[in-house]
Amino acid sequence: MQSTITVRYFAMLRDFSGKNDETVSIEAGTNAGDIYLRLAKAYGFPLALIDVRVAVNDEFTSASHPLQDHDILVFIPPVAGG
Amino acid sequence: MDHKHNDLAPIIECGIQSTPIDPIKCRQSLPALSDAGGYVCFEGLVRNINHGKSVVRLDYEVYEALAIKEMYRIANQAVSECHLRCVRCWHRSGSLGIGDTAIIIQVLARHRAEAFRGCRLVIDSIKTRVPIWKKEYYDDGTVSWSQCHEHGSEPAL
Repeated sequence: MQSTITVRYFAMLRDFSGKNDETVSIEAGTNAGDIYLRLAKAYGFPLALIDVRVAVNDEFTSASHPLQDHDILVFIPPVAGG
Repeated sequence: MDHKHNDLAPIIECGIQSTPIDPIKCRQSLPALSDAGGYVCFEGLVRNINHGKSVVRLDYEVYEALAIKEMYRIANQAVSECHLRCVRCWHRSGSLGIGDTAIIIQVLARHRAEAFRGCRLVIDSIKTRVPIWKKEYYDDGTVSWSQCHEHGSEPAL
């Protein structure tokens, strides 16, 4: 059965994708970085993978994090709080 | 003076708020800790110039679930590294004007050196680690997501 994840977009990545979130299909072994590269190409994100942080299910992780069905994935562009 | 917090665990409160931060109320609600002789409060205000452009207002966007977790981790780290008795921190979300308080950090420690160091650690860590973004609106009608290039140049204590 096909697995799916939800990608949530924030800040400039939301502007580029034009979406708050979307469902993305994954194959076994797909990692967060694979998804970023796919989306960056589709939407023209101006940031390289190395310039974003990765969060899965509301926790920081690495781009090599293997994704599972129903995961919620967020790419975090450079932050500017404070 | 209320002595009830003596010898208890450090007090840590962090949050994101969409309404204006009221520094007077924050001061009035500061816990009374009779062993804390140093109190440092930092407020970050919205400045009218950034990267040489004239800012008229800004929006803070927050990935709230992770932002709050990370703020608590930073506060806990500051408590343990600087022996703090209390850290309270609130960051704004939503639309702010020039001069508005974007963040308030209150730190209590036994002595001033720990309080200053702890407060600096909290603000510097929040700026680089917490998923909060700033969309700036300029007087020429343009808009951009600020990337805070100046972090590295902020002088150390």
